[in-house]
Amino acid sequence: MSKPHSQKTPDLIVNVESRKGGVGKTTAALCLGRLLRRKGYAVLVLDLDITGTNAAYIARSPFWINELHVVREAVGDDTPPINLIRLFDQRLMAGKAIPEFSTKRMPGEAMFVDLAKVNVLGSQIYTTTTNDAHNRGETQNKTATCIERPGILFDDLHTLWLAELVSRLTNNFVRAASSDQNAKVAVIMDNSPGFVGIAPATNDWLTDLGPQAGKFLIVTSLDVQDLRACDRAVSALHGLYTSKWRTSRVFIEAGSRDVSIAKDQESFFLRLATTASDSPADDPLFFYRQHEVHNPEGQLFAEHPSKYVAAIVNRVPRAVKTGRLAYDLRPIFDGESIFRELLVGNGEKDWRKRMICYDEYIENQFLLESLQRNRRHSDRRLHRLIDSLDMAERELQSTALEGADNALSLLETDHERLRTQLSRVNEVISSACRAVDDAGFGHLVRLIHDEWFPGSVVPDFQSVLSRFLSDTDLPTFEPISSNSDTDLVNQEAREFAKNLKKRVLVESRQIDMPGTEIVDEKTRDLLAGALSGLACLALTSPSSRTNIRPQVTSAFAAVLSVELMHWVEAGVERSSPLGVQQFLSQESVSTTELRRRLESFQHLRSFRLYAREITDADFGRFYKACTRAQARLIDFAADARFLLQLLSFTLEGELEKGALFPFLSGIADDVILHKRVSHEEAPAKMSKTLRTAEYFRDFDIILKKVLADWGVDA
Amino acid sequence: MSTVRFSLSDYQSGISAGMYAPPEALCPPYYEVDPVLYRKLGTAGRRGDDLRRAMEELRKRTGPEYFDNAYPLQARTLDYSARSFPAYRFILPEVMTEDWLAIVDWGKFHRDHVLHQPLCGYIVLKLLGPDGPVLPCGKTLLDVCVDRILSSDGTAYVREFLSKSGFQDSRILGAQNPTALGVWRAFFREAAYVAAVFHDLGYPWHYAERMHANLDGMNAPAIKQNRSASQVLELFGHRLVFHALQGYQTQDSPCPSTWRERVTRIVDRALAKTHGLPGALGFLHLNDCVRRYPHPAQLPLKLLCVEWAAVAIMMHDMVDIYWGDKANDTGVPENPFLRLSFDKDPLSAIVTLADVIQEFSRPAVTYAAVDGQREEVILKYKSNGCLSTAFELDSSGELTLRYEIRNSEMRALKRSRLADERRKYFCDNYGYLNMSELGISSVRMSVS
Repeated sequence: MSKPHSQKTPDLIVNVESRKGGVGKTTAALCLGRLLRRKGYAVLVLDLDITGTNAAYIARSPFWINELHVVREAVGDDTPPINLIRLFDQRLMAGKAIPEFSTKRMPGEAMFVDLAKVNVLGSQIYTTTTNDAHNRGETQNKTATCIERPGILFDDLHTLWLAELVSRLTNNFVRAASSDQNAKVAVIMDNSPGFVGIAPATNDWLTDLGPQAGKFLIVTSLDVQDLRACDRAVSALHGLYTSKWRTSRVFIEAGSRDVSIAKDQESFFLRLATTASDSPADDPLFFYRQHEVHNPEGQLFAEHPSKYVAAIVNRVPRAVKTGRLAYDLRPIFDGESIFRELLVGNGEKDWRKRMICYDEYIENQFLLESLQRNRRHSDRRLHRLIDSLDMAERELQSTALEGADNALSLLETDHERLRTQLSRVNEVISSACRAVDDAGFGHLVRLIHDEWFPGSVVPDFQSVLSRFLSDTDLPTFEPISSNSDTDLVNQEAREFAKNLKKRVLVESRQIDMPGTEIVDEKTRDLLAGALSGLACLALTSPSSRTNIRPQVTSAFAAVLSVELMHWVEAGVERSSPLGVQQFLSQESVSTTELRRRLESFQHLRSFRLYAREITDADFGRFYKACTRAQARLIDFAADARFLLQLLSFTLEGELEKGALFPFLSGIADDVILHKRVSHEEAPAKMSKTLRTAEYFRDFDIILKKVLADWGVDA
Repeated sequence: MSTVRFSLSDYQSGISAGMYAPPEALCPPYYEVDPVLYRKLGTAGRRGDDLRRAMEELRKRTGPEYFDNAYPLQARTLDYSARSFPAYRFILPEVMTEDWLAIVDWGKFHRDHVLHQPLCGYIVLKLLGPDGPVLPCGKTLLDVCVDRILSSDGTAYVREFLSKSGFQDSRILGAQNPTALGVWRAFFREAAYVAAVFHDLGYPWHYAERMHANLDGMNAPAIKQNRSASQVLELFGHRLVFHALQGYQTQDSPCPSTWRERVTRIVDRALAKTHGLPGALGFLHLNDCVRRYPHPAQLPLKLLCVEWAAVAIMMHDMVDIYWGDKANDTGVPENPFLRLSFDKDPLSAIVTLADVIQEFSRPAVTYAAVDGQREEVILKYKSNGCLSTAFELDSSGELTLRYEIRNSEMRALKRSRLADERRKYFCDNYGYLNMSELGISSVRMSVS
């Protein structure tokens, strides 16, 4: 098999392969990429499993969204992901130049890579209109088209050309990564299952590079056939490496004494004889051309396969991993087996350390069941924490029962109780957070306070409102420096707040845009109630004072008017609290549109008169702060309960799992900030997320060992 | 006595035992194949199922017994060609169709290259392999051939070609050190196999022209079936293939002023009378069509492999040009400088020898009247009855090629042709294939 022409070689190229599909190659490749990135490598993952999972789509998962960068054209973020098969079909096979990687945004065809993340170049032999539509934010019926003929999978020439493309992309990435002179470069190939397609070419290429740079990660399951197939694959790989090594010794000795060349050595011997180069950097077989005195590790590598090939076992039942159920390898491997050595190492314990659990039945369980398991945990410290959280949750429930489970009614009727309710919810969460903080999870508490704390809604909004008002002729806040929260409530503001909802509704009904009259009363009440509740909480704050004028009402009425018009334009037929929350959390308005809207609101003439100093951008910020805060207020008690669940989840099992918390931030954002997930759905999703996070953690532990075995370190 | 027996069953059992794998030591493709040209060549003006249809025609015409022999061998050839001669897959449908539609003569009726070429490849591998004959000098055939390449004056043109292609490694080009021997053994076996499995491409060479039509606008060199000798020389005169027609001289060798005229006459005649030269030109041309040239990664040894294989494809069928029209009158060849010898051209010699040996399992046609009617007949393809060919070399240097034919009719037919065949190829002093460098003093051909 011909070697792809290589000029610049990465410090590390890892071929992730398996004999069966669906054993977790892509996950292993991405986890390995993340580990190498953390070790300071510039990492490119090439998805060569062209009929399998497209690694680029995985990047949308909350687990990976902050870790992966999907390679796109450097011109902008909204271009579709680069598809390796399209590069092959429409570039290499069309005789056109392959675009270069670039670490900077630029016009043209260059492909942007982010060296701070794991770069993923996806592949997909079938293109579906659904996928394309998804990239454009559309929904269409799914139809699949094959980009390349199956020849790409089985035809020798196509395989060689695909290998050529991979080689060029690798060289391009090394060039792009050279902008950071200290960075080592790693390329990870997520290969197709089985020994088909490009696999023979990549095996040949990597063994050419030598075991220091060319590594193999075999992913297997416990399936006997799979283990046997991997056994043969590893033997073949080791045979290839050692054959090349021995041939190179024959080649070096051939000049000085009479040696015989075995038939299976002829090919490599001939390549050694005909591909010499004066420059080691340009010599594709440099590793083998060195004399033993210059290359003392050569024989070592040949004798110790663990220096360049590693195996992990995925999808293992938990009972096997924990040792409760024994799995006997002896009947599977006949005689000596390199693969068995890789798996078992020093004994049964090592063997289990190579395993990764993936109990799918657990991932579908609900939160309650998990919590019950936690209560049986022997760790006293954990018991105390869980008890503390339980108490907080009971307190929260009693708080909610005093008023209403849903904050909607409070938003509409009793603003004073709303303030009290919010304040008590804050206390409960703060108390729970203190307990968690005491247990050493300060980073988690900080994250809750910074991102999701219910009590942060009002102060955050107040600061935006204050800035908005101070930039205009409207009355401004007057912060009061007092430690007392009880006596200094702004009576004028309180009076204003009592009538605000009615007044903004009256003003908003005067919108002359067609369609707004059909907005149902429930939605209108929901939006106006949340807005007036927000205004009340902000303006009647005990710690601030302001003179209320009618123009302030108009400012809130303007917000409600824009909201109603966008609601109509969104074409939402039926409203629900979650639907309104989702709408509000994603709301924004462009500067141009806002100017146009404000000019069309005749009923806001007086506001516009006073607000002529307000820039569109100011109002845009104000509008966005209103909608975000409205969305949070509608169901803040449920958010609080979710936060308690999140704390419990994070503490589930052993304490060190707190390190997994970053994985849960995606789902917390979806529930609390973006409102993409309802509180009812959240426990199940969180459970699944946690299980998957554990799964990744297991990968990380094993892969760290693999890298240590390979001698790859920071 | 060293005896080597060749037969289809031996080949088939050898394949089952993992023997006779096509050599790939030179890391094919020999040329860096241009994907754009390849794709254009494969798609323009063709139907996707041409090959399947041609195979189906082959099965219908020959029947399952013969097809079951030919199909796997041709499949192996097709697989090998993917990297050694990439354009082959595009011409194979026409090669097969031509094979079974062309009327050669009443005795043979058709061509059979789908079987004959792979079997020649097998013979070459066996001749040059560990099971090959041991020569009177005690060496293997492969070792003698490599020795000739490395040290014979007659093969100076080969070394000159490599040198001028940029191959300067004195370890490999020079003396007989172990490195050079290893390289040349691998090289020679592979080049011989390539030449053998594609040696009869020249029959319907109009497909070279047709293929070119598919490359319209792709800047590929034109080749026409009706090209004159001078036009062919203009296109290919600088290639290694024409060294053979100039007596295997190096480029620096002096030659008479009339030489060009003589070569032109030979080419003219070879174009009309042989399939060797058209085959070589088609082989070169189709390789030229899909390669990028010059290519920085192109190895001179790969170039030599293709160019020398073309020489062998041409020379395996130059026996009639060598003898010329007047040979029957004088008993002396008209163009003696074309005589094949292991000293000057071991590659062509080995391919020609394999072509002579390959007689076993070739198909023969029988005719049967349809329901007693005289005008309509049914054709039946079956083996010609030749089970094997034995290569028997005794210690005195006498070689016997013994064809073992079961069918008495075919045995008689072969026997009637043997004398002429032996005279043309192996007669003392003037036989086209000079085997004396192998220590073979005389060659007998017999039927049993």
